[in-house]
Amino acid sequence: MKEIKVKDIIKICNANLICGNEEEILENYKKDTREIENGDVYIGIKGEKFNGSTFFETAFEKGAKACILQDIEIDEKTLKKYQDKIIIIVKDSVEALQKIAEYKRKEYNIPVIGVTGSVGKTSTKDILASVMSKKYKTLKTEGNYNNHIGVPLTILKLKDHEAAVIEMGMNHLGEISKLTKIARPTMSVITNIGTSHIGELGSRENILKAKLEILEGMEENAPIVINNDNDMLHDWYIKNKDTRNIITYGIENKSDIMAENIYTDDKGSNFTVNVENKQYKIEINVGGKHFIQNSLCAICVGLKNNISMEKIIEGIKEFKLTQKRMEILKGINNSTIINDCYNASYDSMKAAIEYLGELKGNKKIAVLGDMLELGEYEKELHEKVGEEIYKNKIDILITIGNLAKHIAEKASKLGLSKDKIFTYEDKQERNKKTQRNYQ
Amino acid sequence: MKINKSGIKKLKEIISENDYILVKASNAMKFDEITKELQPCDGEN
Repeated sequence: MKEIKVKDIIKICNANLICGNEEEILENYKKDTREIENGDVYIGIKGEKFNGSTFFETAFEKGAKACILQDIEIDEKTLKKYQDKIIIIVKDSVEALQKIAEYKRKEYNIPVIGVTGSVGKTSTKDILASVMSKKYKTLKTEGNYNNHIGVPLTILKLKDHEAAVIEMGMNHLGEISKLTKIARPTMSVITNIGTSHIGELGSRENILKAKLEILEGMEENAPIVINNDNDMLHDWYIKNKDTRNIITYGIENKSDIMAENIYTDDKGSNFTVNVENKQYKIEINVGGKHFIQNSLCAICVGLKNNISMEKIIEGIKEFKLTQKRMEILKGINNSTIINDCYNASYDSMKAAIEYLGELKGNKKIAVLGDMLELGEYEKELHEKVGEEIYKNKIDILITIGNLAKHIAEKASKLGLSKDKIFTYEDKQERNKKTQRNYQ
Repeated sequence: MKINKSGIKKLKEIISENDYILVKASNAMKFDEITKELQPCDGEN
């Protein structure tokens, strides 16, 4: 385990030690006092509404060994109270956190897989970690720790790990550039280029540009794994295949790793792949085409990291989805609920509707909410979801939200019978109930 | 964002055996209540 001492932080962050021993080793960094345990380090993050540094006394009371703080005056009396603790004052605590993580990362000569993309980042990260952990002690991003605070906090969790899978999210240009320079991936994955955050970024071209920033933190010839079925990534691959180390996976376009003989239902999927002229059968405990793509990605990453096909297959089979992501639940009247309420972008809506369309059941019912952060594209993209509803022969559509009603309008326009569509708008926003049966 | 009681009632009337119900929204829309309502209570089904 590579240790970081107080004196290292003072040097890296040009910080001011106002009490404590500079030879002390600091580990287990937390930004939330509710998570503090004995011996942890509390970082007081300054947000728009409050300065987390003001909670440093709570952190100490809960057992923190050290606090890294900004924009705070501590009087003599309080300082005396915590004289056996460590207090470090920095100019900007987020910047300090990033610098400490950058320092920590450089101490580790291990495979680090960076994962980004418009949708499927988290499930891809989870399946990659499941495969990587078959050979290496692997650290992975937990929860939604994929931003300018979450990525450094994840890196700082490195202990005796032999590999890491780091998810990187963004909602504007320049964000991934910063994250990749902290995580320094030895290999990266781009799952797809869709329309999430298009309201902020303006175009899919800009989304591609933002995702490709991941290359800025990598060695020039480090491998990048891409979903070759995604139109924009495929075009990028064609233009760059001679100059970049690109590994492709896909179901439709000819790729390095391809799925064949695909079968999928609500219990799971299976398919075959050819690796070095040998055919392997892959089983996943989750249904849906997008999880087949995630598995193909895991095969690319596993093989590149010298994991045997047998171990990769085990890792894929053991992968389990986190709650609210295509979670299969038992419903009333012996029905089946597919709970996919973690997030909703056009691309994830499309994938989920396609999956629903493929299932062999009695009726297929879609209960859909608004997709957020789409800016000027919000009407158009909700209408495109309506097209998917019609195209995939969904029997009943229920929309909830002022934007989701565009899904209903489009599906109705295309020919979905009006008595099969129900819309519910936001009562608070509209200040009136507008439940409407199209009949 | 909530579906009202009559909406839930309507949905429950529609659902029959071997149906598949996709519930899809962003976390911010707090659809947990809908998903919960569509699951059987202990002893049901």
